[in-house]
Amino acid sequence: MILEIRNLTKLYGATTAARDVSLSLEKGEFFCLLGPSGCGKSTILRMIAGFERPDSGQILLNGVPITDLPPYRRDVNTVFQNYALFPNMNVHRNISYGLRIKGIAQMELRTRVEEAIAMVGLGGLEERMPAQLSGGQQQRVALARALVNRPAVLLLDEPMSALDKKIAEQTRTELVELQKRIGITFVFVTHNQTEALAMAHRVAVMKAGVIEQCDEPRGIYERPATRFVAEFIGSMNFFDGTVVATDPDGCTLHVTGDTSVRLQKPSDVTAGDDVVFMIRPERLKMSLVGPQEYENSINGIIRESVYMGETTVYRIELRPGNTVTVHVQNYLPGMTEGFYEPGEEVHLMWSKTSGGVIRA
Amino acid sequence: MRSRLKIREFHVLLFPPLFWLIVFFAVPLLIVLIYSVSYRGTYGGVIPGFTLEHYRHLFDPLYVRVFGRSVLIATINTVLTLTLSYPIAYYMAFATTRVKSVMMFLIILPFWTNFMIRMYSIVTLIGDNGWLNNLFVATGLISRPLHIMNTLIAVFIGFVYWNLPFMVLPIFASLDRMDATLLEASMDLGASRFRTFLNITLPQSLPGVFAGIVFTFVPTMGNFVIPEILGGPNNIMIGNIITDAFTQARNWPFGSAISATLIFVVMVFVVLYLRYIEPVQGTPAAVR
Repeated sequence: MILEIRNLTKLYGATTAARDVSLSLEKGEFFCLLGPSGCGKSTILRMIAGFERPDSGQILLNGVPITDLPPYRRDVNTVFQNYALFPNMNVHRNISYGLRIKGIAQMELRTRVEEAIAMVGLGGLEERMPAQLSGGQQQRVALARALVNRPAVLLLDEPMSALDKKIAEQTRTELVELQKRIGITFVFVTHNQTEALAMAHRVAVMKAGVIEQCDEPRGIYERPATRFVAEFIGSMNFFDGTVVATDPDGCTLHVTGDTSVRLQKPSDVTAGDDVVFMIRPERLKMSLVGPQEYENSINGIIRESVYMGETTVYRIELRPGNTVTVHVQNYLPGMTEGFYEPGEEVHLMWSKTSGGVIRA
Repeated sequence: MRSRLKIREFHVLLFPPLFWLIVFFAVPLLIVLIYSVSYRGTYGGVIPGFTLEHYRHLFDPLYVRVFGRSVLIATINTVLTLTLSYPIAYYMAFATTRVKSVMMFLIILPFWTNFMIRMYSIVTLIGDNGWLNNLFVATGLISRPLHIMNTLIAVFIGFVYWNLPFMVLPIFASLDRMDATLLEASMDLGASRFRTFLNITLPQSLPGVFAGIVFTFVPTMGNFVIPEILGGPNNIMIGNIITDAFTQARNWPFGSAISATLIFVVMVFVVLYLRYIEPVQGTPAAVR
């Protein structure tokens, strides 16, 4: 365990930035703190970096408490959201800053800076001033400036939020590869779920200073532990329901009144529980033909269709006041126009292994 | 990006200030130059002609000494003012918005009172029979009043007091503009608070420091009120020589010659300074 956070709490007046947050990070892990703005994810990062002091709790780096150490005594480095490059220093001097502070000898300093510059692909830009760099290049300088110190943990505070979409996507892949190659533990803060799912080994979803769920990306997406996580990551349809029966394979529910739904998946509910059944829009199949016996099904009327290019999004009314969203892949050009029309009655079907329940 | 059309329209707005500058700055400057090479009238006044006698007159050791003293006083004063102003500006830049506006108010407050009145109030404060001496004697801190009036110390008190806002404000402006995450970045990379100050804060504040130095040094060189009121007869500066030449000696050409020389020397100082000492400033960090 390289980084351990124990019962960290931090309040700003009436606002809770962190409440009883505990985390353990393994060496070489790519860890992501995900949440909406104001959920406290940046505060946790700042407490690890040493810019904020927790009201209570402890932070241990390699088993040593660092909670009370100033930022310059911690073996962690930060990539700031706005990069915070020193405007009066060129790329080389920005990157070598940490090494110069530590008094590393010229020879070693030069090798390590060259290494870092090559690592992020900034060769040839050593003499440029930060103001002469593009956003993507500035981000690389910030990354190199932190990594050149070979910290035990690298903290990244929304490092891609200032980049435009294409560059951010490209950077995403590069960052994952870089992290794998150098093996330094990354703590990555973002509000962008795609970034979190695509990059991290583990994701902690935060809301109002509390970690709602901490799991691998697949677990977060497939088995959201709370309604907040289910809604925040991707999109989700919710049905109020009751558990009718449970058996070793799963359970049977009644949703939206009397529609019977079979869920072939272990869950900790018992008969009679009020639950919420959740299913992702892309797991629903829309058809004019009725269901197979291995499928759950419910009927509804198309109320709205929105063409999105790769998919068409339909809003289906199951009964007045109860609608679900379905994503249909446009795998036939003909399906995008005049195939399903508003007002038409359709079957919605899904596999008995799809979906999940949480207690209401 | 602004369109070309708009920029051209803005040019029109430059005419009134340009007119103002030409009429009230360039023309008088030219008059001073012309007077400085004209003959002196017997009963004051100026007789047209061309002579360099007034400039030659300047090299009289008396005037050279006063000029040297003025440079020295202005330099020491600039150093003193800078030393006092920097901590104020620093504190202000990192204070809360509320404290910031209160301090800003306090710094601007003196401008609401006439300069002469402020100088005479300093006299009532530091005079032999002034409040400070009375207070110190009454509390037994000293047995006899301190002679501050009519000494160089009084001159410096006046100058530092007068220049403080002109030094504090530009330094504050450059520190206030600074991105505070730069300080965090520096500490994150292992620099202590003090090294962060030296490496990051100080360089960022230099444009303000340099502006403050110019705003302090240049007006001090030409000031004649403070040495006259607070410094007494032994502490005259070049500004006093100029006023005396115009008012008492009624030697306008000589006064003009000193003024022209002063302007020239200060101009050379400032140009050299801007060219070689002021750090080359890149465009402010593109931090987004």
